[in-house]
Amino acid sequence: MRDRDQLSARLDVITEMTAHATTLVQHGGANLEEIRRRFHEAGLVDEELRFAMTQVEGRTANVAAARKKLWMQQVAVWLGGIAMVGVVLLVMWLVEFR
Amino acid sequence: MADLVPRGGMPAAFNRDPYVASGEMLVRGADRSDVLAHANASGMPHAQLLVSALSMEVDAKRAGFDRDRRFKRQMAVAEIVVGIVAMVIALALLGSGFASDNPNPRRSPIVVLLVGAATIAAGIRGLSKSGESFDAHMGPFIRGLGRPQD
Repeated sequence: MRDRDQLSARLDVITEMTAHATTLVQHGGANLEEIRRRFHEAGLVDEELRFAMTQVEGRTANVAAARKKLWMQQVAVWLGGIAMVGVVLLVMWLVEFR
Repeated sequence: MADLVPRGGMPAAFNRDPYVASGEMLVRGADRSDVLAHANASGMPHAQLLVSALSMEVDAKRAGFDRDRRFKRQMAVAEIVVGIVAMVIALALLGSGFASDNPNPRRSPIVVLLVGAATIAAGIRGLSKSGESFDAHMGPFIRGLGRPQD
């Protein structure tokens, strides 16, 4: 019973680790090889390591899409700024020169 | 933190709660192997797994924090640039209006001038706010480590 509880607690920690590893990969803080090395350092081998890596690989399959979204967000900020200047100029022109 | 520990000794916090102490060390940028050595020395159960999990969590939060900070700084710089452009245009129009004895009202350049100044002020405020350190940002996280989980 105690062994089962310990195993369950260990699995909980591993699952939590996979979530953080996913975030790390998504934010560009590490690649999958680095994550594998860190899981190995944490003492994960065989089934545990395979389970953890499958989780991370599955969740980071669309990392490229997430990075593209971030890039587009940044472009939107600058376009928004330029549009604001345009609106200011338009309003001034309408008020002063028409 | 490691500098405060006497050579060969262990941080006092490790004797009270090695898990919280490990989190604190990692947040302050201590080396993972160093933290693990302290955790092992304090007799923390499952130290290897828990310190690795903590370090991954801290690294993930640090990566997110860096990304957010970059984004906030870009926003602030964009605000400052927009504000400066608006102010320059407003000043030019205001100047030409005064020079040519133009009878047109000069209200809108003055409004744009004020809006531009406010935008620049908001940008500068954003820049100064984005200077928060990671340690300060992680204060609630460290405090949360000491509390029992639901």
